Amino acid sequence: MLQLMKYEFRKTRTTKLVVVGLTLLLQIMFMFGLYGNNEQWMSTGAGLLIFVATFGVIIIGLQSLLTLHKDMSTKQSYMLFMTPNSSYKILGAKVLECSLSMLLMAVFFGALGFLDVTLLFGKFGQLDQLLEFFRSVMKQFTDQIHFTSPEIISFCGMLLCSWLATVVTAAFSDVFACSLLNGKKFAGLAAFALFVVLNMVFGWISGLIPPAGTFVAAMLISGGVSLIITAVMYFATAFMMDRYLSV
Amino acid sequence: MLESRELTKKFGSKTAVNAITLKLEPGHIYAMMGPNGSGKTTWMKMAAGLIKPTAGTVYFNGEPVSIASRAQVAYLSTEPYFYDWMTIGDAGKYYADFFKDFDMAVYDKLIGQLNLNPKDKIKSLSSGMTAKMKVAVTLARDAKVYMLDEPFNGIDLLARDDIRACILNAAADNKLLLLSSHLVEEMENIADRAVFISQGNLIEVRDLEEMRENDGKSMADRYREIFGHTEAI
Repeated sequence: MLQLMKYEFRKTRTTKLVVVGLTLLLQIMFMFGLYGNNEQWMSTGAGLLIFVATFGVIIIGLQSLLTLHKDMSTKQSYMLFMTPNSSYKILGAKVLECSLSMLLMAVFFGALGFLDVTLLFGKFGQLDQLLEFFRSVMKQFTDQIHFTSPEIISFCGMLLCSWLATVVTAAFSDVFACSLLNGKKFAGLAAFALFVVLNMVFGWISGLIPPAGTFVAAMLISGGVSLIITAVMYFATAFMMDRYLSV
Repeated sequence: MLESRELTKKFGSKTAVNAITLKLEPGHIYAMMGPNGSGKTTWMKMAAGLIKPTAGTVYFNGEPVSIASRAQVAYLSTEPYFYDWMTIGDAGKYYADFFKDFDMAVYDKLIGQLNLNPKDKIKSLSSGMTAKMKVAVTLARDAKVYMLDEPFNGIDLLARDDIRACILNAAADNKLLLLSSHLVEEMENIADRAVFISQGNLIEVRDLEEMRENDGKSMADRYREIFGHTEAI
């Protein structure tokens, strides 16, 4: 599995390097503006950093899906399917690599954002003000919303499950379209349309579930539904790869 | 060692392979002969486990081909299938990562013999060099079965000589080699048995030495008889 993941990472390495490289360039621009007292560079750098952070994660996810599409619709598929690895393992490596890459990129951008805000406050001699700001935010957060540890954990778990379900549904849509419309130019478009429709269906199914009594219960149910969707989509996708995909 | 029973593959209304029952034994080099669209590639892909049959089964050592058998069956596709970013060296590393029977030292030796540079990108290679690289990466495996689909496709005489030498070197009593090619005379110098396929149907399997002695016919003669004179060019 790790070998497969290594090559999945390698296939999308260029895109990741471009996103990280561009981010670092913008970071230098921002810091140059910050410490060189150039307000225009600082604000442009910050604005573009927010833009890259927003779209960078999405671009990396899309790149993984494009790689999956190419792997499923061209002779390149032999590189995967002539090795002694099952479709389930191959798909698992793809889903895990994509999910982990996006998660790591999100953490990277989050950490960079935190660093930049700290630098901003530090530069203007108001670091204690920043700490006070964070303290007050946290206080408001805990005082008004009353989030407990189980609630935060269940919320994060639900987000993770929901994210996995989205990635696997995208993979299902693409493999389904490739199996059915093998070699056709509009297979990619059909995959996107199917992805949208499936998400609407899953949204409708989730809406049928009666509201839970507590926040934790609601998150557990929502996460559970996402996990079921993930499992069904995952096995269906791997089954299609195994039985119907013919390149 | 490799056997297909009533193996059939249909693509929509077209039957690419029609109920082929065939048994291939170790210690031989088989030439799979037939005109374009006769079902040679489809049969090989099913034997390699790359596509699923519509009906029938392929057996490797008595067991249906599976994910496990891919570890002992080396398949060379006629189509280009390597990743765009790969160099000749990367292809070796990839095979080493996934096939336990792959020997990097043998691969290095083969690419040296075939005058290939491990730093060259596969995407930028000529068709002859790509063919040599594919043969090198496939034969560097210590597999039980080698299936080479059109290994001489689009390459010059000297490169063909190099590839032929590598193929003959890989032959052994416990190994089975199956090659397809349109170059009938070329195949006659390599193979000792021939499998003739036409329009998805198995015509016959012949021992070439026996055919020469008993019928006084070469593989090219028999090819012409089966498929017609114009097909054997």
